[in-house]
Amino acid sequence: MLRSVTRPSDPAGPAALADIRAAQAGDAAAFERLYRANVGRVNALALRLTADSQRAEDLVQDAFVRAWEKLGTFRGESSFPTWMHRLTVNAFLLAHRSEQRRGAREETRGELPDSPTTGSVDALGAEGRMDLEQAIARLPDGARTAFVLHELQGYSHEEIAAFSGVAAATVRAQLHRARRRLMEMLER
Amino acid sequence: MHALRESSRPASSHWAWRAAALGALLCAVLAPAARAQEKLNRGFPLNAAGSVKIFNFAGSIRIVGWDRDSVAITGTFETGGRFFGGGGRDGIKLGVEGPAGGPTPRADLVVRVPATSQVWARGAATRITVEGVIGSVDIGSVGGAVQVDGAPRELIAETMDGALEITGSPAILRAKTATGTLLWRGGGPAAALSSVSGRITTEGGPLGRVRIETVSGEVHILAALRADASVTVESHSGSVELRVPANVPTRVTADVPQVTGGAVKQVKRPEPRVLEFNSPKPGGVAAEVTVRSFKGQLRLLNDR
Amino acid sequence: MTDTELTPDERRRLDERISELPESVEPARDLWPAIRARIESARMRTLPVSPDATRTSATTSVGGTRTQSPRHSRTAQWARLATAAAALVVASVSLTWLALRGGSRDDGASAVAATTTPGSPAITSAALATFASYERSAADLAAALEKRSARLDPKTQAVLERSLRTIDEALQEAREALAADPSSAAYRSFVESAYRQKLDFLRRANDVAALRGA
Repeated sequence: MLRSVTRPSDPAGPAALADIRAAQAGDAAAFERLYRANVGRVNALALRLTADSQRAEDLVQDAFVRAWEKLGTFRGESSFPTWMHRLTVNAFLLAHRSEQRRGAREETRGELPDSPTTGSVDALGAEGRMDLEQAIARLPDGARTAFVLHELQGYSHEEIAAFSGVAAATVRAQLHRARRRLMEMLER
Repeated sequence: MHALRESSRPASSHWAWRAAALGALLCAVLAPAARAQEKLNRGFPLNAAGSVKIFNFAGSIRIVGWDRDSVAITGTFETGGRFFGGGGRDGIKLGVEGPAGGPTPRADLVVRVPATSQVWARGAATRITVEGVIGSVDIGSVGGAVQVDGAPRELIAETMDGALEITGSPAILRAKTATGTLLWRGGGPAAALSSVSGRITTEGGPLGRVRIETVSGEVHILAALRADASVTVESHSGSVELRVPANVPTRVTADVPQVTGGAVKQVKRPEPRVLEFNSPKPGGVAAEVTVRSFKGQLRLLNDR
Repeated sequence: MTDTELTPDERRRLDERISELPESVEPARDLWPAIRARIESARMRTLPVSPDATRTSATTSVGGTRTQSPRHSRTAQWARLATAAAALVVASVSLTWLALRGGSRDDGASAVAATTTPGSPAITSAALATFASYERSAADLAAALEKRSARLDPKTQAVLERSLRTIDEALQEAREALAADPSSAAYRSFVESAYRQKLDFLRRANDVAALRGA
């Protein structure tokens, strides 16, 4: 079962449900409202998974396009933000597996978004917050994925192992490494 | 393989040869990535103003200008590739290619050319560097970095997502990337720089007539401006940063949604705003900078 | 560096940092135009520009099940991105421009009525003809590129696709702005600039693909 540490602050309320129903019927304006209400959280997840602002943008777009295509399958069993998070993770892992199959080399650039966005500068706040974002971005790919999915999104070791095609023990080892590396970077 | 050699302890040179051959075979099987290399050392005569065309799809090309009327190629390429080269004193074509439909062999080439020659080079996953050439240079790579040091008379340099770096002041410069960054340390009378989303930066200077175009890349104009400079920047959503020179009368025409920096007031569409610095005299010479952006911001910096 | 477990105190400090991470980080730019363009281009797949446009994806039969080659699905995707806008123009130039004003509830008829209201400015036919010419050139270049795309490695294809998407988003935004303010010379200029950049990029992309086949 998915438990989220960063709990979405707006579970699907009446207004969101109305937009979901309208979007399921093909109303693009309603889908745009859903996009605007959820893009910040999806983007935060995308940035932390990819550690690359350009790839994060691609991932956010892929996630919302997939959401539009699969909106008919949303039944309201989880909140819409939670559903979007799961789609985003799936889109990320799909792209990651495709790139691995093609043999493309992944670069862990370890960059933050190129420029702060309106409003998000304050949200990122003091230097301490920026340090953890930067530190997460500097983790090796596998460790970063495991850390973001487990510590920030609440997936279990077994769920991450199933997604990633590795053993649960490997996921645990990657998590240990991620936590240790983060503490070393944050408290150097 | 190492264990095989030690344990076999050949009693005769015959067995030693067989063990070594088997070991080499095992190495080739177990380490397919370690492809054999072939060395290259060729030369061709070429007139000082002759042309050189170089193809290398993967690896590197280092082009060095020298004062001889000949072209010298050294380097290595993976076995399976084929070096080709030929032509006459006015023009030479050379490169490394793989078998049709086969894998692209990696080659690392150093090509010495007459400094005043016309150089053309293309690659895909190829790092291309040029130094010491003052003729014309036309180089392009897809994913590899491109670096040019010096002042060719004319320089055309393109990449898609490799980084493009130019240090020097070509008389005519055309530089393009797509997603790769573009850095020009130098100045010159006529230049066109463009990207799709790659960041464009100019340093040093002074800039003369320059056109910069991007869709969403950031633009940083940090180079000095000539007194009669004419710089035009066009972007769709990329932000623009301009260091206003301290002592050069400058007129900035900003056709952007927003201008920030110092005491400059914000500009609202649709009226372009003209900002003047260092008291350009009416009708007098001033560096002209025009920035047009659909929705990117313009930020002005004070020269230090 | 060791990979030992964190001490309880270290764990607590890390959890504190994690709790301070913002839930939401707005993207550096508005991604909605790009998302909408992709949704709409999916809707417009049934509008062929040319006979070739109906064969934009390669499919193979494997044991009776049709599968799509990932390589071709990717090249087909950006080919559709490049030709979707052309499909709009080929269908009906003036109605298309006017329809862009309507957002999700495109109503070509009411949009036409709105712009033919006396005193209301309209995009000149000369400008529309220029844009139609750009679209045809872009469609031709995109078709040529698609034929050569098999020579390109996946990384290069991804770069080309991403760049073309960036340009198409910009073009769409500029076109929408012009549709909302047809008399704006500035917006017309931005549309033309975006078209020029698109054509230039498609030519460069064709050069890259031709090089790979050399």
